[in-house]
Amino acid sequence: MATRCVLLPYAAEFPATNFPQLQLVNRRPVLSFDAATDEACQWSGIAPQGLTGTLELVVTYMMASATSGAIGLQASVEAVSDGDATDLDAGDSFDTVNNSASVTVPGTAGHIDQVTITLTNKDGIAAGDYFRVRLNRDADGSAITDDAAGDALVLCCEIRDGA
Amino acid sequence: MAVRFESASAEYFKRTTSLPNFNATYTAMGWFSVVSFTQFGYFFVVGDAAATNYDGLSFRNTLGDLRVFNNVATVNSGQRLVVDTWVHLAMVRESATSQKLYVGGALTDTNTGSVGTSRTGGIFDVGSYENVAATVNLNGRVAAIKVWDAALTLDEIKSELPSVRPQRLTSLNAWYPGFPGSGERARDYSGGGRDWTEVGTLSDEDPPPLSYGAPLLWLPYVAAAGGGATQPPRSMHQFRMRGAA
Repeated sequence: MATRCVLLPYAAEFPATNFPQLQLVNRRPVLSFDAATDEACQWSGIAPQGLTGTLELVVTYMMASATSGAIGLQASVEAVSDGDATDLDAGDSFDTVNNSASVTVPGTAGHIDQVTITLTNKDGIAAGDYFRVRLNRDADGSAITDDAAGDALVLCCEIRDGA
Repeated sequence: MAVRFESASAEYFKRTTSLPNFNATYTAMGWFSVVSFTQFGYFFVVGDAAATNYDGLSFRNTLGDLRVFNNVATVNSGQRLVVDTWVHLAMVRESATSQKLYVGGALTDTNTGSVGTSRTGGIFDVGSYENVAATVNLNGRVAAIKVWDAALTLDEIKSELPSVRPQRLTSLNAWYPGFPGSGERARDYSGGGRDWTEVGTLSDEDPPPLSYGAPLLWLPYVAAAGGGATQPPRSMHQFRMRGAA
């Protein structure tokens, strides 16, 4: 697997409602995902040349306070090729959500963990496509068991491909 | 990353040094969300403590109608705010006879009252005007305050609207991402050290959905490379490998 890009908190974009807070924790920028309500953010880019194989989103996070329980993360991809009949100023076109496993959080708040989400549903992304990748915490547990208390603080994400 | 002002307790931001020069040009902007409309709620005021000389932006009634005003004239705007709804407001002093109000990146009103060029000031408040009366204290939230010692154009204001981080750095007076916490919420990130003084016990609430405005970090990928060369003994030779991504 090869790293293709790193998604930092400062580059995140937010929907109109239900989004994580951009905060500083010990001067580290983080995206703070609520424990009770699903919150999502996204990043935009152009799919690099040579993009190939299985895509993964690797999320590096720490918990604000929880030392037990689990979190569930979801990633979705929207990819638009040149010539696609997708009206970008009228709505979104994300593919089906990809779920992480229900991941047990670190036993010490502030210790990092990394969750890998395989982007099986990737909206047919190809090199040169305009794309967005959205990250959501399934805080209400509707698809993945998420019972860790307190905020999940995402430090950054990484997109890997099969090169 | 939004700061909450509770009007009942006279909570606001204040500065008394390195102020925008209201006898020249400046721009002050931020995102605001009002919790309740009292008689007035001051968003920005640059002026003096005696309320003799001032430029300001506030709402003017319990309906949330805006006004842009100075010590010579008041312009009652037709713009009406909505409770608990984020709106971008900008106040621009272009000259002694032009003080502009922008709402949501659109010019809505111009106050042409002639204020001259020799006013004395000393105060820059956000969320009140020195608590001269409870009615001037804002009951609401503010985020992404940015201040310049220049009059920004309409296009520049539009480009600043969607991000926390300032796009224009020339003549930047101060900018405040408003990260939560005492002290941090008032910190100036321009490098100029123009932090706010927090008046009252302020708190933090959810911000508007603004991006900080930074790009992705792209990593060039290079596949494994290889090569070979035969080097005569005791001679210099350059060996170069090139990989294709």
